[in-house]
Amino acid sequence: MNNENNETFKNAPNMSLMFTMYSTTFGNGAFQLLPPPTGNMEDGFPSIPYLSLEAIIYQQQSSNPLSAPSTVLAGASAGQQVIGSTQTANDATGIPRYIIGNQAK
Amino acid sequence: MAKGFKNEERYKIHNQYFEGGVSIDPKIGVANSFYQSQGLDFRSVPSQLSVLPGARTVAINLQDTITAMVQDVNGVRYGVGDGGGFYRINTSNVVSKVAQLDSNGAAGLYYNQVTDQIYIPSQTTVSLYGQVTSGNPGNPTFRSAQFGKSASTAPGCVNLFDLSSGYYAGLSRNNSQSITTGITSTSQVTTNATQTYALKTTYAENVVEGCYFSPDIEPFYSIAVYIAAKGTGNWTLTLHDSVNNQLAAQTITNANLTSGAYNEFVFGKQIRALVNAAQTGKNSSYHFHLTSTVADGTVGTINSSDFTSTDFLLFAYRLVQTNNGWHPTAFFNSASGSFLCIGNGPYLSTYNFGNDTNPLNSMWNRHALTLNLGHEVCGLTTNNQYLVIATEKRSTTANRNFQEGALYFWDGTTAQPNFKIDIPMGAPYGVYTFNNVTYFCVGGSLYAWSGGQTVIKVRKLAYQNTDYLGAVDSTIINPNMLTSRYSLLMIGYPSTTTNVNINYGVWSWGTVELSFPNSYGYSYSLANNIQNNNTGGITNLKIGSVYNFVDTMYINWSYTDAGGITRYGVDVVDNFSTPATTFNWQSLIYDGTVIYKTKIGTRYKIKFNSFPAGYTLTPYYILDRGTPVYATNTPKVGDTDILMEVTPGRFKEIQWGFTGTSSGATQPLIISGITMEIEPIPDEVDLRKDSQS
Repeated sequence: MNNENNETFKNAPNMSLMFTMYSTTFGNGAFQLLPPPTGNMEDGFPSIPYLSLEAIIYQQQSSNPLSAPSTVLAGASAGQQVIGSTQTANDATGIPRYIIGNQAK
Repeated sequence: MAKGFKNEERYKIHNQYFEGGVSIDPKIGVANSFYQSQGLDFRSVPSQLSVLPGARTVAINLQDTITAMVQDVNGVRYGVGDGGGFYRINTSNVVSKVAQLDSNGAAGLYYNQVTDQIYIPSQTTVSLYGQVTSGNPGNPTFRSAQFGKSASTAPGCVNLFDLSSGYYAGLSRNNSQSITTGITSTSQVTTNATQTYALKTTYAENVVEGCYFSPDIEPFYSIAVYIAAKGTGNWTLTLHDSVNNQLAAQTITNANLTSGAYNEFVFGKQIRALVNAAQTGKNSSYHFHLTSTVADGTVGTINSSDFTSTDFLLFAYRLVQTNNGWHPTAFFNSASGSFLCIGNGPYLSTYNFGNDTNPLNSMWNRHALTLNLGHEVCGLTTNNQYLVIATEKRSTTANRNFQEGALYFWDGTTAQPNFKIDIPMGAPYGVYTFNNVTYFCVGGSLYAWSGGQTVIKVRKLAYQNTDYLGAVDSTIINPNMLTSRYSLLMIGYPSTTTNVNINYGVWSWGTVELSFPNSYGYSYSLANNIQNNNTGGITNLKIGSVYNFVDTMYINWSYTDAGGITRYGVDVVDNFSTPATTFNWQSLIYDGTVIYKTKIGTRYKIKFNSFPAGYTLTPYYILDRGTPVYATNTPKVGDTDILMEVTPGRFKEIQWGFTGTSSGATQPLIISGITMEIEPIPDEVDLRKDSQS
């Protein structure tokens, strides 16, 4: 007999939650609500996906670095940033859009 | 995997993994969660439950509840109690009282290993104890209120107002600004007064009959005035704010006055004031008047017959007497230096260890930061380059609490905090940084912050709300209630509460390693297993603080027993602890997600390793949220399971668990499986009136 309670696949959503669907403004946008019961009798306890605190913290730190862009030229539409980080994600034009780490002054 | 009703096989609802920890809901949670546990380790080996070591009481000879602890370099530990007792806990955990502070303890303590001194805040002063390991070993000196009142040397108090510059930049009233130590006595100061002003018997609220000043320190302790000739009358100093509210009036009888000297009008209570407020000379924030019952005395002045140039000294208490009674401490390294930081009501005080004998006000900065006026610091910790300062707003009426708090972040280099996060949910109690995540407790829940814009509500600790409680909830968590033990966050909760539903104890949060989830559970109760306040004759139940030193955790407690005697103690959990004397576990409620349908419970089995001596284990089940039905037998030594028949077993909801005790046991009981057998009765009509079940 299978026992759903022991299955760990339900923890898998963490990665997608971390990178795409958890924001500090809107919260856990991808959280999976329990579907309504099917009427079939279950042989375990219903469980909800595990969302780790570490995932949220990592996402927060990535999207809200404590050090703001340090040099913004007055009157310019784009500031200057010196990026000191271990990983960046650039858009098609090469502009860093996503930074894992801190922006150096 | 769902089963159809046609499946005639009995269901086995099986708990074999436990890493989910305690769920906040009785029916759903993360995988392998359960509803309740006490005294059980479900993390170290997540596929089993084992009985945790229990707390044991090592001392009951205290006179108050320890709220802060430190350890010296030799391994001796010290604690300060909320009543002002200062205790030494030797390396055998023998507790002895070594000193009594001048007032209640303030949940702060700091050991400076270089100077070998312990700094001990009380309500308005800071005492010193040492040297604790060197100097005169075994006989440290207790210097009560070593850091007490001191006088302002700021221009706003010492210098006359200069109309040309618009600042207090005129002549000095005395030589206090040239003294290279702190001024704690008028005898240190020499007056510059060469003129006099003749006192009257009454004063008028005008610019020539008040002596105006702009203080840099508060709360006021006294004002010392240089009396040229005391005359024959009794003198009264009346202190006003800028709109002439009387803040204090203090009289010294003529016999106690001294001519040609400073005479100190001590207010007898702290006078709260604004510091470093904008001032414009004679419309400054504060002023005082002097009168005599006989108009024949003179006060020393800089200018002839100019009362505004009176020579005086303003003394202030070292610390603000707070409503919460706390002055938490922390050591903080910053780019501008290293400080002992002390929460000082709405301020952060810093001390650079510049002069333990008598520091200048610049060394002991009472108001290094000014936080929200009305707030009081309720915890200090550090996170990355920031000192994290938790503040609350505390009412003096326990059943009319504020709901207001904040976290301030300061890098030590700026005149104001670098940034702030308002905590409108309530007071952020027990702030503690673990794995560079700053945790704190607000309104029955655990919160965390680690660099984001928001604080994260981690989970419920004790309650989401207090609806239907039938009493006013006042739950306080002292500053030093969170600690870490074996890579887990330990949460002493609560310190005090009026909520009879909250179980006192040490709760744990964390994970054994990254593959397993963070989980939560009730790990350690007090050794006496008293868990609820205002229950069973127990009142004033309190956990003062929780500290962990490697393998030894201290839980400091007090309560008033049914006979009205208040008892104080220190519990320890360490490698010599025996298994918890009581432990229990309870499953989630099972309804098969078909709560409408009747099922039948048939058997309930708990599987364990060879049952050790010294234990009892009593399985139970609960049908439809009714009364627990307990097994009448307990395993014998060497047994590997216990089986319980469920009868009568018809239910729509069923829950199961066990309670256990230990006495004289030395090794943990290890439980490896908990299984309830269910008969789904697929041929029975599902939807029936409950009364037909």
